[in-house]
Amino acid sequence: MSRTLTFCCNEAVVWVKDAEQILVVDTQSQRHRALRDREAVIWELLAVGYPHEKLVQMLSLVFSLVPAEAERVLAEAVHRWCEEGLVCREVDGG
Amino acid sequence: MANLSVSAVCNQACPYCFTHDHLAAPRADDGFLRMEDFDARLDFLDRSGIDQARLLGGEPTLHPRFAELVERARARGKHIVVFTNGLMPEAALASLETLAPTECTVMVNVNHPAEAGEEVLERQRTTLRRLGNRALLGFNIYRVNFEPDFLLTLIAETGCRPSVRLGLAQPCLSGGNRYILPHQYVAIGERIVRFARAAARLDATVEFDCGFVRCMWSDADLRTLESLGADIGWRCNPILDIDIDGGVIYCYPLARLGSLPLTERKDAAGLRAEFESLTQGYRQAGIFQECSTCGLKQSGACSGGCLATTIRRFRHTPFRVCMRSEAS
Amino acid sequence: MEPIDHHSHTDIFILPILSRFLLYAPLHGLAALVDLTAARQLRKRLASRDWDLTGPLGEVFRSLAEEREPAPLPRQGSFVPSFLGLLPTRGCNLGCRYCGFQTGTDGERVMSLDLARDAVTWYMDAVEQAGVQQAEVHFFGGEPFCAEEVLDLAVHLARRRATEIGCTLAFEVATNGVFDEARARWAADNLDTVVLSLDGPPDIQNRHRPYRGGQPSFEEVARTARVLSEGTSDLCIRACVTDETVERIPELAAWFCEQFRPGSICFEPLQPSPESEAAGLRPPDAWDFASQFIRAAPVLESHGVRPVHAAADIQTKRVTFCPVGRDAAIVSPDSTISACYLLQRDWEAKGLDLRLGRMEGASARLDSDAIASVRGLNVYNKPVCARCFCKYHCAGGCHVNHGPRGPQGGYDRLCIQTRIIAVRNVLAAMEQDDLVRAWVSQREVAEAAIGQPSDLLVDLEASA
Repeated sequence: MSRTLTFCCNEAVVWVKDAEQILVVDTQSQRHRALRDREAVIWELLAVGYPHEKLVQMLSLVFSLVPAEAERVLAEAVHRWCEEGLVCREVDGG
Repeated sequence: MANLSVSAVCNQACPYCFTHDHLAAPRADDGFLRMEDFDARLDFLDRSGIDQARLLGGEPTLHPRFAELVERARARGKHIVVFTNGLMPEAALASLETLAPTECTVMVNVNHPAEAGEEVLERQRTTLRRLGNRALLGFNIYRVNFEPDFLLTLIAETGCRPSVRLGLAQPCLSGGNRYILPHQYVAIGERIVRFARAAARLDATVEFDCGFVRCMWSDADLRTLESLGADIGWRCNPILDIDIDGGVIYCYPLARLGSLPLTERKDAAGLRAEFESLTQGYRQAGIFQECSTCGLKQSGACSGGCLATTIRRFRHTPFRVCMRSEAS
Repeated sequence: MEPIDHHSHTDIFILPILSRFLLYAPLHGLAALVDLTAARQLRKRLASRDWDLTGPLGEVFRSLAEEREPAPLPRQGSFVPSFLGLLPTRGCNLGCRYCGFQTGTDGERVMSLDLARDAVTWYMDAVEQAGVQQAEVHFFGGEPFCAEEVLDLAVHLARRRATEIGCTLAFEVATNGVFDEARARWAADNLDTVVLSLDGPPDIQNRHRPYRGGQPSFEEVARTARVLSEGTSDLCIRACVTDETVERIPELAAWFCEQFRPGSICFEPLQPSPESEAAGLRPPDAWDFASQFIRAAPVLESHGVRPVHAAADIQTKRVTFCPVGRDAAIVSPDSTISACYLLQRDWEAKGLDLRLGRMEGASARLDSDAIASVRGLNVYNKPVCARCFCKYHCAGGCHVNHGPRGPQGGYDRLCIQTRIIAVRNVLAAMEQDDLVRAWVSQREVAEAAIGQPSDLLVDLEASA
């Protein structure tokens, strides 16, 4: 059985688009990370408001992935960011 | 180094003023540093091993006991540096006149006559004449079409130090002051080279405040500037600003990052280290997209421009994404 | 007048400027002010091929007699797209009062993402095959951001391919700027050039360019302009000028510079349409537009902002003003590949067919006859341009909206303002700003110069 998980950008996280990367900074810890390639594309598409399904479609088209693979890439990135504190998982509703 | 704010009051309203974010709020007190607090500032300088007392504001010379501030700092063996608009009360001017040129540097910040007006300029001339080579002209560039040649006339008329310190108007984090945008830097760089040539013809030199970047000049123009004796640097080394309430700011444009308390144990190196730690993430970037992968920045030859400008490039985006997950 | 002989100095021009003459030879890199006697002497010696001349005039003469750079030529050979144009949609979220692009239900069609992917893939493959160093993707509309997914896909996909190929890549969009701040920041981060339509302060912008329901658009567009100013894009503000606003051009120039700090500003005269007439908007008089543009130019330049009147750009030498004839490939939502981004009905109204082919999957089927026909749309086939000193810069202007079809020297309104502004640009490059001001202040004299049917030095006696 599947359920829906909602992730949101950590309130303390800011970012900037540079020539070859997206630089993400946690303003509280000052930890920073450079996102490149697939991660950078995902982050930018999220930043302009793409929902999950559209994100998967865009990743498929940009990186020539089958949808299932695109979904996996997206999920891995988001979960990795969650572990790093760049995004937070919202508490599920009752 | 550290700047000591002794006045939150100013008698000018320069559009680019770096204190915009910090001094905008109205105060309940008179806006001047208490004398006992000034002594604590001097203690701070002593334990930090700093031999300069850099006084600024607002307009520092408006402090009603400015002369006494200078005396106290001199008694501690400090070289006095004053950042002023030159529109100072007689008592303040007289106190600076008593100092030898080796004991003080008075940075007189001037604006173009078309903006300042003749009356202000005449008062500034008087100040510069009386201070002679204690005084050095400062000029902040906040529009691309700046016209600096009047500065050379001022030097010739007043006998102040034959040098001009150029600054790029940088944004406060709020963006509420007038400032230069990075895409305007190259055009400004071209004007600076023309000015440096004109200055050299009159045996005057050009110095650079912080925030300039290597890529605003071509190699040829850079060689020209160097040959004209320009003191160039690609620095962003914020000089701690200590306000009249005892808060330490990384530098005025960065006031919104917050302040650290000035306690009896802290010294400049420790405070600077704290601020560096608070901003190290931002320092990976610069004012241009290319900065983060630029060899000059990576080697430390160029700072990547003003930190306030860099920080303003960052944003928070409250995105959300919903994903399906297999329940464990 | 003599028929044109391409070997008889058809690229040396002369125009009277008050008491002097402007000698202009763009392919020789020469611009000089001479008197009538000198001009006659030059003409005589060129005709007789007598190269022996001393003094400053001798230097001028030798410049004219020396090898010149080759005249620009129409494209030839295999079709390598000079840039990829994507037309994501003809739809738009504004109801600009002068807009001739209104398309009814067809405006709602949006390019599919598969088509966008195929077009980008085809183009970047062509770039790789031809060894092109800089690829370019331009977005047109309607309003391109009404189909923002196309832009997102194209930018990311093209960038990925450019990295693989090892070429540089530039993006350009023409937009109305009506989108949210997140999108504005995306544009500022990702697009190299943004041509933003903003006609002026609220009183002008909201009258000219409201939402479809008539609501004001100024605040959103101004916010976009400010965001773009702070970013890395080269912001070009395009301001449409009418007979009501023409006198305000210098004031608008200062206002734009203070408010937004763009890289360039393009003032364009209104292109009349049934819609503009219905809205009571009229194009400005050619002289008024040009003279006000000339007054505004130094205002802009003093702010480090480039004044743009594309047809009068003397830095550019070309045989065609626009994408047409330059082997641009502009892909529409219906998979058509065209040379032009304007509406097909507008080309057809001028007897033009600017289609080049179609996308078929990841390939482009191009019609070689169509390509050859479009390449023939160049300045050498426009008699009215033959003796005009702007011929290599303006190149006859827009083939659809201008495309002067008169006899030699039969200049229309757009020709006249281009010629006036081009004179200014040449004199400004010679640091003759005082002369420009004096010339513009004597309208009748200036108009007579601009109206001369031939600018060629060889025709001097006929013109003087």
